[in-house]
Amino acid sequence: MQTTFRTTPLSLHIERTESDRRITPPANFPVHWLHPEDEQCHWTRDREHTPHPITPMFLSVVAPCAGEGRGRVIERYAEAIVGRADRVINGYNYTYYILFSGSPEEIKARVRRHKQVMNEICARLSETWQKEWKPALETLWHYWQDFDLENATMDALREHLNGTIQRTVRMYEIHYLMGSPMWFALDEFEKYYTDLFSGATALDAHRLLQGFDNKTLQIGRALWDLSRLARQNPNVAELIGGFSTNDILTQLPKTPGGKEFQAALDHFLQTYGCRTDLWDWGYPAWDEDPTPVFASLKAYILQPDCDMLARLAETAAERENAIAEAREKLGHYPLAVREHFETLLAAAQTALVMSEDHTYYIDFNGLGWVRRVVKEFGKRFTVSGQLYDASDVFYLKMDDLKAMAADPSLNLAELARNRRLELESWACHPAPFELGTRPVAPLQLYSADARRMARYTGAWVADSDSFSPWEVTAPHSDPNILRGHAGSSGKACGRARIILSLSDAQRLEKGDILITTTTAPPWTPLFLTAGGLVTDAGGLLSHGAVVSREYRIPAVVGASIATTTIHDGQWIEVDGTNGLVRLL
Amino acid sequence: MNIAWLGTPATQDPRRVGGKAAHLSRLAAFLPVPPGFCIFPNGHRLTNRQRRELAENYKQLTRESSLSVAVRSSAIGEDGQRASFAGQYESYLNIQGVEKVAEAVERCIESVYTARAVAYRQSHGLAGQITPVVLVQQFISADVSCVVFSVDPRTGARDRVVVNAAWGLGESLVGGMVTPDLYVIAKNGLEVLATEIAEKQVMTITCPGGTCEIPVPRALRSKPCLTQCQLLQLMSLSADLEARQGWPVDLECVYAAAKFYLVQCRPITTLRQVAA
Repeated sequence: MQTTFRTTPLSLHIERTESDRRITPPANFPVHWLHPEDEQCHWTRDREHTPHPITPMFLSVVAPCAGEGRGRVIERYAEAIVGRADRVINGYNYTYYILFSGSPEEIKARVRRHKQVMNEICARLSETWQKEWKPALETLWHYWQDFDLENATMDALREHLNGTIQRTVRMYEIHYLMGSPMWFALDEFEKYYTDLFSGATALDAHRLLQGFDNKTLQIGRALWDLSRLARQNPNVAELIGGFSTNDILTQLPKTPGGKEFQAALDHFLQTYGCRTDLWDWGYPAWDEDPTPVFASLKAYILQPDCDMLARLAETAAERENAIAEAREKLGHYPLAVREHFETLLAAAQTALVMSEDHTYYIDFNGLGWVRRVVKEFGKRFTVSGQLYDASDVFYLKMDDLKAMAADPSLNLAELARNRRLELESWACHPAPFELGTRPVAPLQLYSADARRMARYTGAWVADSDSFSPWEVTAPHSDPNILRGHAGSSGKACGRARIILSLSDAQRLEKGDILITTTTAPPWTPLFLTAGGLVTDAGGLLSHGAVVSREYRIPAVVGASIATTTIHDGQWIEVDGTNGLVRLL
Repeated sequence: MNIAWLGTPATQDPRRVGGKAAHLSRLAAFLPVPPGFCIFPNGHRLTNRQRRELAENYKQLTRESSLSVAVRSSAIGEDGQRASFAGQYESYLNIQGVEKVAEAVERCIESVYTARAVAYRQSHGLAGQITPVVLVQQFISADVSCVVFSVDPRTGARDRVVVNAAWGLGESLVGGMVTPDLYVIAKNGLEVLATEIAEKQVMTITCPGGTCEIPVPRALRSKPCLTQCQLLQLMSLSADLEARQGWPVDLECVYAAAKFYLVQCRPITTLRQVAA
């Protein structure tokens, strides 16, 4: 190893040579660089959003649409990240960030402008969300709600696809309009709270934000209500409790009281069913395969009444107590301190609701509409013999789909099937977090949103006071302890259940500790059954941590190697306050 | 008579109550001076009769406001036009309850007699007995405290008002523990001529039984304490007072519940050397 030393008046930098920073991929993950210069960049993988290989269709829709949507926002918000490159390597998506560059004065001016714009928006965040962004998203949804997919002619469907793509760009524009102020508001509140009350942690600050209703919780409650309906009819409860998805669906109409339940279930699936396990489209949606819904219903049917509502009420009560306590302490402070507290609190409370609701309006149910349109093409290509199976369409790219729609003789069945098999085979290989060449220094990002975005991917981001990578990779001195981030306070002991996909959710029993790579809003129903949560990816503001706090279970997030180190069935202790997992 | 209220003739004679209380008493009729009364003690300790009287007046003072009072000394000779005794005597803020008030009053009396204060008086060549007078006033829990000069004390320029301001109660500001914001306002142009926003590290706030100094939250350290509108209010207040008193004034004001209160008004004693 060669090392060059460079002294500056203030500190000693150790600058490693490029060959030291070059990352060697594991032997079972050979990397062929399509553009040789790519190897000089640091490529990292978003394990929180896309822990599995990514489907070509999802990437070919989302990457350009999100890129264009984000492009409309970057200058308006004076963002720190001005672009990103994505590369698919062995089926996994890797990202490289392009940062704003300029003279120190230019960077300073940009930081100032960013903060000014963020402060202006956060001053009226709730109003903007309620009166601007949410209605804009609801208007976009009408386009899909009002269109009869099944009965449209091919020409009308192609036209609808073009409109869909345009609207997807707009959805992402709103996504990025919301994103930066949302994370800024949460960041500002956390900082202010921990500065005001010495010894307070970020988790303490979050107690003042929890317990407000949001779309994620509404869906969770709707599912809970369905379970209460099932409990009213022992035949239905027994059927759901003891049979497979197919059996339930065929037996339900023949079961006494089944029709009534079926109507409620259909309504639930129509309203919320277009969500998939995670952000990608390769997973079935609930309305295509309601197995995850039945898994949660099974668990809920065994639970007594009011469990969920009581827990959510406790969360809200804890919030009100924490707010009252803070206000009392601040009673002696100058008005400016109290007013600033109230302003930041209101913005952060809205921001936390937005952080869950945006996943409903955009990431899951919003993009679910786009997925439905794509799937409709898949169905038609199956009928015309251009594909073997409707869901194979997700293994093509958007250009392939358009070409097939224009030319019915174009048959890509074999290509799609092969891609699917290839991705499935890569899914068994643990892909490295990073590839290429590590940067000389961590990325200096001034925007809370950019820091968070880069952290999703495990990119090296400098905090104001620390220079460590976000994922907790440094092992604990005790081999029986795993380190992660404190996600939700409290301690719980339980049996570890490694659940990597929602189709496996029925194995989770009351009190089990849910161990998984990452969770997304469709996983919410499991949080009522689980006694605790441990994830490989994520941080304090990830879905898993936020919902654990709502459902009052301890959570350690971003533990990096939890799913590969903990054995299924092993007894463990989750210490969510300190971010530690003990293997017992 | 052992006790007399601000705003009554008995407290308007500087030879009887000291300069600090006399000025406030005269101004109380037409300016927002926190209500209060003067105590004229005999000797170092309060007599039983004085204690009873203090308790009655304290009750009356706090009947319509919070129970907190400020207890300060206003010895005769202090705040005269010849020498400022600013900071020489004790003052106790946020005092609640009859017992605590009586205790603070006695400490104020004691402070007047301290050797240091005596030495200070003697070095200024002021002859005569020192008679302590104690001022008990409604306590204002300030959001912002400021010191206002009706002339620029640095240059003697009489066409402008200079304001120092800091977050919270006045102690950090008056005691020099915090670098305050500095504002210069033109007297006739109604214009803010200069603003220097300081990095205000500490502030005094109320604590149970008194006050304490704590760090200013980072987010507010570099924010201005006063708005332009507030500055213009201070400018006209100090210009009016200067005209009324006939000498350049040095004011201590506190801002609370959307209003400025005048807690001290005295002549600028250092001006003569600079401006003559």
